[in-house]
Amino acid sequence: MRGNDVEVDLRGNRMFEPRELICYKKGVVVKSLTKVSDKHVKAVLSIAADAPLGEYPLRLLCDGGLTYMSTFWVGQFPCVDELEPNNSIKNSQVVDFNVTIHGVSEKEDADYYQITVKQGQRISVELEAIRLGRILFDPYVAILNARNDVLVAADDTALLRQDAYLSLIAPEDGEYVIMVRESSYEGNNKCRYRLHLGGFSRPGAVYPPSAKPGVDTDFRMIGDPAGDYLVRATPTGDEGNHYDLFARRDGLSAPSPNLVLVSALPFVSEDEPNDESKKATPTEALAAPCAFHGIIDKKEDVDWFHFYANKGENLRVRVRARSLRSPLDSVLILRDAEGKQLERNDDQGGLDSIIDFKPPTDGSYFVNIRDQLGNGGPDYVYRVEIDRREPSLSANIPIGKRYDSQYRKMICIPRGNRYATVVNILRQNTSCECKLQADSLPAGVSMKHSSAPKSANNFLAVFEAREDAPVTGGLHRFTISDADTNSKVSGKLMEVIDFAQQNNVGVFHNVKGDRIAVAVIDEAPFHVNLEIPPVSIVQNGTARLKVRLNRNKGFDEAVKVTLPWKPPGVGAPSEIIIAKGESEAFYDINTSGDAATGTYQLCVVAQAETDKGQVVVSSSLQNLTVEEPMLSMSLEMASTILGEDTVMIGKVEHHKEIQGQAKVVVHGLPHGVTTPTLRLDATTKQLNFKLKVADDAAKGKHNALFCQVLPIKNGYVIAHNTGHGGTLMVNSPSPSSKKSGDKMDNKAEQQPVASKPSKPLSRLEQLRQRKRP
Amino acid sequence: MTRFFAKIYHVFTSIILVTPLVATPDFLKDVQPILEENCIRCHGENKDKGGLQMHTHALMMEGGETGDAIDLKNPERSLILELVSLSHDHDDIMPPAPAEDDDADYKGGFPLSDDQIGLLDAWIRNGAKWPVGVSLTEKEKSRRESDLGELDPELIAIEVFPKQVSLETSADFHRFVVVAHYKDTSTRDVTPSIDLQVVGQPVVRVEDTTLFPEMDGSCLIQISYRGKQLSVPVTVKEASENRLASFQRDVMPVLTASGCNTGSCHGSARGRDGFMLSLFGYDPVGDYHRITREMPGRRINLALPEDSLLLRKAIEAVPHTGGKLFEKDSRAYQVLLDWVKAGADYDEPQDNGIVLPTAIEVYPKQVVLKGKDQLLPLSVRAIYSDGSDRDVTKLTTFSTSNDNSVKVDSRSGLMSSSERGEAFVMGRFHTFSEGMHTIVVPKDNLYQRPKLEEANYIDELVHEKLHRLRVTPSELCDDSVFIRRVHLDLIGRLPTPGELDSFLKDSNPLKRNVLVDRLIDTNEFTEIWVMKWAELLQIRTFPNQVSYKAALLYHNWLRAHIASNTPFNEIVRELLKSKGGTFSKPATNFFQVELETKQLTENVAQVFMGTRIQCAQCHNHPFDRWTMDDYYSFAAFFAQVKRKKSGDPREQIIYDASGQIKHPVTNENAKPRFLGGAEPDSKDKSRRELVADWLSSPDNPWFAPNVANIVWAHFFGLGIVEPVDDVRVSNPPSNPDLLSELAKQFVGYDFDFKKLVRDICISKTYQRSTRTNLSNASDTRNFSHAQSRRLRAEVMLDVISQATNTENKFKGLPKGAKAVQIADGNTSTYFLKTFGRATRETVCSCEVRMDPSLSQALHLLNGDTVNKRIKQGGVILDLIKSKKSPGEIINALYLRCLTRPVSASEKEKLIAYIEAADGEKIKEEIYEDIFWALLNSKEFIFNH
Repeated sequence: MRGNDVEVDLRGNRMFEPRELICYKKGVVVKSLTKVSDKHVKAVLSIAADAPLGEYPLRLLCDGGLTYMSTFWVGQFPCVDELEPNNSIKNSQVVDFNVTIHGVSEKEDADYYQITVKQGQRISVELEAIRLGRILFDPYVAILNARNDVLVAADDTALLRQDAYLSLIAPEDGEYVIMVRESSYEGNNKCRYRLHLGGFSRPGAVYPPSAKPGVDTDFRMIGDPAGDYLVRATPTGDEGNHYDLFARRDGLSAPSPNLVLVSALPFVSEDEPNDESKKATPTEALAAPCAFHGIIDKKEDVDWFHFYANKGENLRVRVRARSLRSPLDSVLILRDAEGKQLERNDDQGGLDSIIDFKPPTDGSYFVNIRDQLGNGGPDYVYRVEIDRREPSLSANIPIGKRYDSQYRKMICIPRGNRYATVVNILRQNTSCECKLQADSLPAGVSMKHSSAPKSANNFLAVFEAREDAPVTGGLHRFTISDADTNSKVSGKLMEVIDFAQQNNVGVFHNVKGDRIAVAVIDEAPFHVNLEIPPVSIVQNGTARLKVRLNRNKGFDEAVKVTLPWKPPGVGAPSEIIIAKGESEAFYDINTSGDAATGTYQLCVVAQAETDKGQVVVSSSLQNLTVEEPMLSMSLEMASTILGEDTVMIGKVEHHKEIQGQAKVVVHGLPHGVTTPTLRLDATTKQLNFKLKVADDAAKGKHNALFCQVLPIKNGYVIAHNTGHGGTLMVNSPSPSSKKSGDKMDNKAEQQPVASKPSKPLSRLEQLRQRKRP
Repeated sequence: MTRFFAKIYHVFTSIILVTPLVATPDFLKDVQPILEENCIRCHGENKDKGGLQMHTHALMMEGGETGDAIDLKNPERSLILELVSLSHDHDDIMPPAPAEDDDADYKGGFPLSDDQIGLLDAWIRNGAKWPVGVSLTEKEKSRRESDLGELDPELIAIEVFPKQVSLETSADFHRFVVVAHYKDTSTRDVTPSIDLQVVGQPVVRVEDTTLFPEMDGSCLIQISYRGKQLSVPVTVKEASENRLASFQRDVMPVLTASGCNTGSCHGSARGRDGFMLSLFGYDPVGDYHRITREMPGRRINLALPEDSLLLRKAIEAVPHTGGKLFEKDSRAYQVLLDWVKAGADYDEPQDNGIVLPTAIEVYPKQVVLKGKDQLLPLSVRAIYSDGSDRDVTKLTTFSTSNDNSVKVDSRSGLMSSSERGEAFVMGRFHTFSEGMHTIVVPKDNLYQRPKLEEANYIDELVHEKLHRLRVTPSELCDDSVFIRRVHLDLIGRLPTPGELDSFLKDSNPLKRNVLVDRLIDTNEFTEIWVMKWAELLQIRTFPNQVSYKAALLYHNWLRAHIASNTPFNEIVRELLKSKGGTFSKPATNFFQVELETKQLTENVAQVFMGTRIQCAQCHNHPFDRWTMDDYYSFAAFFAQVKRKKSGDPREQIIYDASGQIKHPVTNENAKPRFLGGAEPDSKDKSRRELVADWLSSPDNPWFAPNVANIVWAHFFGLGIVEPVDDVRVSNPPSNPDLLSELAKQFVGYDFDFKKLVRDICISKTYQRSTRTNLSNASDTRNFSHAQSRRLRAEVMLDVISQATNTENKFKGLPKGAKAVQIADGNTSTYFLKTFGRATRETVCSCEVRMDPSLSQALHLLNGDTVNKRIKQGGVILDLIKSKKSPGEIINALYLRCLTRPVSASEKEKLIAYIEAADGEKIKEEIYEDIFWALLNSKEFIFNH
């Protein structure tokens, strides 16, 4: 409750030296932080009397790192705990009015709370359940009278999604019962809820759904059982953000806000009736960019608007309804001045409609909006925006582990060491090269990032903390912007933490922010370095990257090394292990034939389990160049019978001059067939691989043969894989040669012929010869 | 056949012929008819049974495998005479009795009369003279009765089919079938014995009983038989005009009737012997192409029509794997030949008005044949889209549902009766199948119609049917059986001993009705029906498709409707029209459990219309009227159902948008047309609303009978149509009048099935005993006695819980809840699975398995359900503690489990065990054993 101090238990693993509770929102001050054990820390929080209601994300900084994000909720009422058994109306738990109840919905559990109110009193309830972010907990709530009649009930609501609220005016003096359960009786001991119960007003919708920043606006709060009312407020915030408008009435506030879009676009509100083109709002077409506000207030209602647009403008018409928690499932139709349909959209990603269009002529255009199922009601509020499609940029840190959106979302840099993360770029209406800048960083920390060219959707950011950097942490903003300094396109590095996620189904609640938790933590017991050979890797080539570990004394655990980012077309094992006590390993990488050429920056991430938990560090960024191959080779098809040696011809094509001699190894030969390693130099045009075929060689068509050519440049091997698709047929001897007793004679006759020719015969030539008896 | 001859030699000497000597018979007049009507079929040009052929003199004299047929030296020892003279019940008598004959298409035969034997004998004795060049062909035996001048006092009326005749073009004809009705409800074919007279202008020519057009005009045909008269109006049009054979209208029916396009012949997916036709003729265009365009000049020879392979194969003029399909002089041959002669054209494509059949009628609709070997020809009339009709009997294929009682010649449609019983005889012409009902009753039955009490229309109609079958129903069950039966059926639990006691003591003569009324008003009654409909609506969770929450909401929606007594058609209407989120509008889950349009269509037809149209997805239905056109036109109603994700990832939104389904043969969008109904104007309308309104309308011919049948089947263990979801022409209702009356009442009750349930439960038919009498022991379909029915899995578990005083725990339900209340089809237990609870994976009524199995028996005997519960429930301990006598304890257990007191003999035996027991612990164990035995008894497991 606001204005109070509250003691909070923080439980987790390896909380060795708790240092600070990082709070994402103002209004909560940490008074004290006391370690009880490595798994339990107590914090006393002081909640300001004017602290905003709702969710407060927190992380605990310890010397060893930052914790996952947890959320803490602030309400306006005193809190009471549920007292079981309260599983039937007969043994309802009697509670005061205007309280917040902390309860648990166990399996097949229904919780009953009884209040006594006077006739005419507003009874409102709102549940925070799935929003608490613990588990997929879909609650159901009902208000019953003392005779066990359900007066109102709610399961899912447009405003609060799976969470529910109810509001009614008591029809008579007396006792009322609020029943809470999991909607399918599938609760468990993690299904915790906060039930706000009192006389507050809980409107379901607000109109207009958007307002200009800094402008005093009267908002109509819709859906209160006592009737709609106006709330005056001045929305603040950035363009496109949501302003939290709390409904206040009779000194009480709704426990959670209604959402108002902050936008400076000129707008017009609908003027019913506007059900046809002739009655479209406004009477004079508004010039795009602009916006319209309206309500689909009855079944089968259609609202018409018209606007003026210039030919060729890149426009986007979008409905904002579900995104503002309106029940409307919009269908948007764009029409020309004659009313002819140009385009129609139901859903675009979400349930809100979006149409991108370029006006074919200067002139006025219509938009219609209606509900997809023909539904309507006073809370079916919407806004239609017609805005230019401007370039925009944003970025995020990708989800590192399936179903765990918190994994490595915080940046913890050991002192004197490095930490690397991948950053994803989200570009809209632009394809610029990007750069990332930290608006601020903890003392002693610097950041470098690999290039993010137009073609790349992600890149590496490497943070380095100086050895003398103090152990500290905080929330820091990062800006991603167009590398071209003339461009003003930029955006933020966003953080999205998914709570209440169900496998395969989706996310039910998340917390978004534009600040990343960055901390300098205790030293790591090792450093990692990546050594890339100073020659290029070629397409269809391989290379060995050396990973060297500097272990502190006393640390000899095995270390897992990964490549967090690879250039396009480069393949590598997902991880390698540097064994216990070892300090070196090789990361073998390979490239595909169409790997993009160029120079890229890579690093490796090393992680190890220490007695203080997992430690993650990275190497610095190193250059890797991908080039076209120096030569290529093709293998001609060869055919033989068991026990008979043959020759396979390889034709060589040189693209660049190689230095000295290069080894050539044939791979993919079947069992029982061998050939010696050959060498080639810059002048070699053809290689004849003498294949030794054993009597028990594997029969059949073997078409996975290829050559590895190993030219050396500046003392480093540049491995080429070439000649893919080489084919060797190994057949059984023909029955005639098998049974004839003079087989040996035949062979003796043939052998000199076969060994004589100065030039080995191709498969085709061999066949031609055989045909000539 | 050889065995007849072989046997005969053993008994040869013991036979004495009694042959009256007559004057030399005339072969042509006297002997030829006897041979042609009785012998040539098996010993003629087409068949040589026993190696004997008799159609020419030379072959006759050659004899068969067992020797000479005619011995001119010792005429009395001629085998032919020996065999025809055997006693009538002798195995080897010639002509053989139909039942004895191993040749299925044998048309029946009768022992020769003494006169006929005498004629044969005289003919042989006189040298078996046979005029030169005379060759015999098979003739149908004349069935014209003698002494037709006499009146028959038993005869009520005669009936003729068709009742009016219109002949168009010179190719048209119609044959009469006349049936006589007798006082004892039996019927008989008297067609051969009628007299026909043309009254007025002679516009028709009469051959036998077939009318052919002579000239335009109209007349009356006067039909008389034993003093009863009928007249049939006849009109003739375009008598001089020829009718061109049309491919679709004439040729396709021949191919279908001859079996050319069945799956085992050319209708197979890859054809047969290089020639493929569409299965049951679903693709006439493709068939035309293959007949005329594949291998040009071969299958069809326009220059020499008779040489067309199509014709020569059919009459087996050249070897044909499928054998001979018809004769050269048959109607089928003529149709094909005419078509080829006319140029073998396909029906003009621009000619939209091509006259095609729209329906067929098989007459007579219902007959009762008395005694064996009664013959009755069927007549099939096809009605065409231009309103004309034709006699297509000879182009129709016939089949019988029970050839033990009624045989039918698959080509001619001549039925013959054999054993007592009933059969449904079906004719298939073009894409249509229709059937008729035949009952065979014994000739000499001592049956007398019993005077039976009738509670309502159900009893009347059931008794009427039983009367026609000459079956006397069982007596009513006693009160204790009734209270148990009605409790188990209506509310899925046993009556308590207290309830039994007060019911037995109740002296109200209408106490059974009162009990039914009381039980129908309970919540438990609702639960039983929610469970039954939940099975058909497949309420269950599907991974990533229907979440548990959606399934539960769907179940709750159904329960709320049934509990509030929403008219059933309203529930279905709401279901089929539903749109919105699967959470916010739970009825939409119907469209979420099945995502595939075609499967969804099939489910709607099967659940709400009780008909399975699956076959017609790929070809015309072989045993029903459904064609591919019907299938895709009906599927078109569901082609616009769309689904999209809602805000909640677990929820789907069901809505309508544009969408079509293509007919795979024509590759055109199918137009929505009601199954077996009209084509509504669907422009700018929600197709689902149209189909919902049509299906749930009181006029819908499928819906009400289907629901009524499902309700009926619950109480009798089998439907009037059985299986309940397999209504088809070839699976007719066992009592059509009863079904249609139930449906009528159901509609009259505004689709309140509670009222229908009441009608059923208060009927005497429902209250009959399971004990049978001599006349109804073999009856399984006509409700002349109650059937013992194993309890359904859920009810059985609930009843075991009730008897043992133990509680169940299922997901989503509080402890002690009943198995019938489970919402999700996927929530199950080993017990429920073993006893065949529906998994709700399909809509099929076969999902609920009621057949007993070894694992069920073993589970009850050894499994933990019974044993553990006996211990857990503490019923025995409570009884022992109550200080009752052993007799009282045993009686209490009987009342608890079987709803009846222990009988004296049972009691005596059981008490002996108790008395012999040494010590309280042993006694307790013996009581437990008795309890266990009762729970394992058939009397407990079955509702009887």
